[in-house]
Amino acid sequence: MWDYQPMWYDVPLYEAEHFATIEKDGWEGSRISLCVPLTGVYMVTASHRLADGFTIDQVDPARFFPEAAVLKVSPKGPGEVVTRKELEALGVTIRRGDAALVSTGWDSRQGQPEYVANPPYFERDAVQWLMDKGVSILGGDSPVFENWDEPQGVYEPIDEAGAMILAPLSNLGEIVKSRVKLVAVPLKLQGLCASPCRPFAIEE
Amino acid sequence: MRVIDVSTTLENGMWSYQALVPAITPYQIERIASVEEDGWEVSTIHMTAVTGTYIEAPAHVVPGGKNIDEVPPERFVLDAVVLQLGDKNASEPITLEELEALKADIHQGDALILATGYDRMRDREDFVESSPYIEPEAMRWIVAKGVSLLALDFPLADNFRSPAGITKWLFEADALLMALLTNLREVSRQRVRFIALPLKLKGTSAAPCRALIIEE
Repeated sequence: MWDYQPMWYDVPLYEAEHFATIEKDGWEGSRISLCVPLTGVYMVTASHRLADGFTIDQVDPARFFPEAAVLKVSPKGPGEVVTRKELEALGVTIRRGDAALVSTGWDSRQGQPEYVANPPYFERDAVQWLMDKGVSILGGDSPVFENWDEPQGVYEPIDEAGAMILAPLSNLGEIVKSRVKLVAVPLKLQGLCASPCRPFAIEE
Repeated sequence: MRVIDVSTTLENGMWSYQALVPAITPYQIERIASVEEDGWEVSTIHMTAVTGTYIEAPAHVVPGGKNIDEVPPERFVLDAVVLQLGDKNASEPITLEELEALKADIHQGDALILATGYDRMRDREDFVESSPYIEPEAMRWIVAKGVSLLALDFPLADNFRSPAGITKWLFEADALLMALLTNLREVSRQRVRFIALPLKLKGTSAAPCRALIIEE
């Protein structure tokens, strides 16, 4: 699977090993090691960046299945920006406590070198606008929300609002409706800033 | 709407099946980076697929059975029936009579959740070996109900001292098995909504998951 490794840590991000098999042992058993939050799709809290931030096991479980606003902006290329103006122009209803799922089509680049190295990013004001609307979870299809060349502190409004990030998502483009039910349930990992999770959107 | 978290917390020092199978290593967190030193927190977690609250798919014991990543997501958000049994102590059986006595309305495709309160023992050394268990007649009844998932607050469905192979019956019926739930005594209704989402681990028969009960 894809990973952040070229950019950051020299640690295995995901490993699985079968230590028992039906043929040999009569049952299947596996061991996994995974890096949090840098594996697959994850939900990450303020404690990823703030020493006194809340951790993933402290989050009220009622926050894991919110209504979600689906914000489909025009497909983004490498290093392109998602602006407040284009989010606003979509005219999608966003209510306090909603998740916002921003679709840029970037998930189609998974496995390509630019996927992690040069993704689209959010304008800080775009994130601030979503937080002002009361968004509880910001979901995106890019593995990094910040502009790597000129960081603008896009994570600050999220941390200030007590919101969480859900990324990097796939298949947002397949969602037809602009409002859906999101189910995104992390593991209850004591004291950690994040958890891998398996979100899905339900169109009712 | 009331949400009850019925998952156990994953933390260093928690219970594991190692007493049963030495190759099952306990859950372990390894800190890679910290906010204080690196400006952000990154950790690696090491665990077996059957850690904490987890779901097992038929490939656990059925050759050619579904792995956890092959189970469609609709099967993880479902209607569930919670059977509040009496508190079970070490090695006590769950009988057909006590299941029937609750007169629950169980539909084909429901999840069935058995509450025995045994999870309160999970700090004991013999927690796994002394698990309450489901008697063969009771498991036949459960399988015949056509449940999609059987969830337990005790670690072994089968009798540890004299296994009857009952978990295989469940998997042969394409049902899923889930353990170890907690907090089930907080559930006040018999019919609830159940969200139990395993990680999408490719090619393994089981995965840890978070489980929530919703009383609407």
